[in-house]
Amino acid sequence: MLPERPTRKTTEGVFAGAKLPKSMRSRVGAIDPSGLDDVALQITRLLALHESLRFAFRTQDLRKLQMSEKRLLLADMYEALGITDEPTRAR
Amino acid sequence: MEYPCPCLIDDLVHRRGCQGAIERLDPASAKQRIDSAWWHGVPTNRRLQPYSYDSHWDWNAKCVGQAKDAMTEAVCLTAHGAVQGAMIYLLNAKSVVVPSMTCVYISYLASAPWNRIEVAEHPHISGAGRALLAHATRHSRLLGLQGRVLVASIKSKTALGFYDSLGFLDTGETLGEDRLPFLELSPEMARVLEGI
Repeated sequence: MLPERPTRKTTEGVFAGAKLPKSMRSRVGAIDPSGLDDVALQITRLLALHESLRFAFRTQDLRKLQMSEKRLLLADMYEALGITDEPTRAR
Repeated sequence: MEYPCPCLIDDLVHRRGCQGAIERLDPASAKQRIDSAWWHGVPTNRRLQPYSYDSHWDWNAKCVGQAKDAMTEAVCLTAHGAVQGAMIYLLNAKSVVVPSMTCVYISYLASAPWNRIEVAEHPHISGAGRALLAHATRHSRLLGLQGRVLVASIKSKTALGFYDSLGFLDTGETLGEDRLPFLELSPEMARVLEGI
């Protein structure tokens, strides 16, 4: 039995499927994400993306910080960068 | 990044009374919940159609690569106990509209086959792609990238119409030999998409 002939050329439900060449990525230093929780990963990414951002840590190893310390640090970084997590409006 | 993402999953949660959530996608769950589940039971002849061209995608392998790169993220939308859509995105792409700026780039984005009109006669849910994109814009904002999002769209009327309806602008630039059009979402339209 022959396969069905498509009635029209679409890719319903598939919206993107292409790698971006390295030349189109901003350079950031090598980061090892292993062992980092969500908060530590977000801090690491912010530091990588905003080179001018400088924070003095008690330790250079985020894995050694308590979660409460990391959350405070992240809040400070958001404030320094003017980032607010605005809630979505009621629908 | 907070999970589940509290941002827009409106079509699912508010309008259809469906409890949806955005979750991080790891290689093991990609293999079990996408590679082994999405195309299971879909007749081979349907997998060969243009609308099924992602049926060969190996989400597990894509997620293995993602797990080694801190600037890449893989997430999925879950509802009804299944993965309804998945997305892999970069956090350090160069904006095409404002080359000095960094933005989020959507590498892979697809909804589950049973949500596609051309694969399933009665799609389970709609809005999976939109909810995942809203998650990407929120992540962009939380990284100080203002919600800016870039994508090299699949060349189809459906995909192009989808992005157009969300406010993506055609940058006039293309990617690769296939000349996939680069579309970019401005910070202003990202806020509209998120419902801010």
